[in-house]
Amino acid sequence: MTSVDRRVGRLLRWYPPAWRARYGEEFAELLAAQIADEPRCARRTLDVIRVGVGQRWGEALGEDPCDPGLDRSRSAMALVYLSLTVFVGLALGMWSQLRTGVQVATVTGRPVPEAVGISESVLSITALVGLLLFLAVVARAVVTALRGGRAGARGHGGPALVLGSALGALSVMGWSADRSSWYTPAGAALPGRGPLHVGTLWIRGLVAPITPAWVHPSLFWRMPGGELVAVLVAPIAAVAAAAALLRMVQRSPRPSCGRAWDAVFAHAIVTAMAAFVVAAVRWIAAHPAREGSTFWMRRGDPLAPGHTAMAVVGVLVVLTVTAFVGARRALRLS
Amino acid sequence: MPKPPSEGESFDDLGRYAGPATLILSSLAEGPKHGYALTKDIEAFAQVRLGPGTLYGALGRLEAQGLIEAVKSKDRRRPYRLTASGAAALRAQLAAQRRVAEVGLRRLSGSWNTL
Repeated sequence: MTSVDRRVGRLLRWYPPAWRARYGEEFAELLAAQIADEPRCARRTLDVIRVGVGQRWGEALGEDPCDPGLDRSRSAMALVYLSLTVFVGLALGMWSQLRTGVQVATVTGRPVPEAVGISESVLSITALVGLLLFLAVVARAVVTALRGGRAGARGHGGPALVLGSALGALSVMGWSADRSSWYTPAGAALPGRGPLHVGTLWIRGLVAPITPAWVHPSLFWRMPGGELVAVLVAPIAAVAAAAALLRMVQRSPRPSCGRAWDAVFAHAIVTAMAAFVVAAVRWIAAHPAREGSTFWMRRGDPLAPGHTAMAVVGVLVVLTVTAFVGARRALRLS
Repeated sequence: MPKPPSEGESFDDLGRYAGPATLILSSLAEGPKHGYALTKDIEAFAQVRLGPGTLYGALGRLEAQGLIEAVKSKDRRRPYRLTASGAAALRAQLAAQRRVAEVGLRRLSGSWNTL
């Protein structure tokens, strides 16, 4: 096998198997001819990758070029799902910030029991949901990779090793971070010990990147070096390795469940998003920041107390409206 | 069996591939061509270099909509040819583009010729 063949093979992997079965051979011929004409061309490589990712995305949504109406309906649902994903991330971040003590405790002050309890609940529930979603997508890929993949498929070991190492690093980090107590806004370590505690630590390690440090970067400087590397590198490595495994074992998630149900589901999602926004605004209005409290709501910040949280609420409103647009499109096409 | 497009609206469903589709169909109006020949021909008559991904993304759409079809070949480089639906769609598309070009050129000559 020549180096050109290897390059062509690598580029072809960006495309879904069904597409490769139909166009792969002739596409490989075209690529080989173009590489012979012009061996190095970043524009060509980017074009191949861009369209390949689009084809995979289309496959994941069940895109059907023979039925453009169905295609548009699934695109509308993609808009709803994407809005919801960003919304959940931001909403959980804001809610945990507001509820876990940033308004009611200082970093150096005594832990607030209620804030610690809520913090643990929020982190654990978030972690469990995230973990289940992650496993639903990745578990299949990992199992296939460990079994050697499909006939002729090779090279799963590297990404599987990276994924395992990244998850391991995050788990160790959860344990280490608990000992140094940097991640709890209320300044408290987890109460208690035992198997449940170890399990919680593992989960907390996995969600350690969801840290107030991202909105208050000076906190990063106070982290031990190992934790800092883990929080910055391990999540990226885990996601990249998981994506590589998914690509190798040729699996794509299919989120759509039929046009009629999609429209109903989309409107339910938008209603829930709007309800959260209303509840968040009411909560912020009813809980003014306390003197000396930290992070988003600190008095004396360039942004007045509560303004940062309200700015996040503004983004949530935009995401809700975007999801609403997707839901209306899905309804029109149902 | 893909539904044949009605004249004048067939390019609506091509989305981001509408531009490359016009170039590909125009090239195939001359006769069947495979991927590499298509890129060379389009580069020659339109001074546009279609990337391989863009080319095959558009070919897939056009084939699924019945505007082009693959020609049986023993060669790995499979040629494509225009179908009757494809010819009708291309004619309608080019006529629409010509109307826009004529209006634009007429208005330019009326308002900007004296500057």
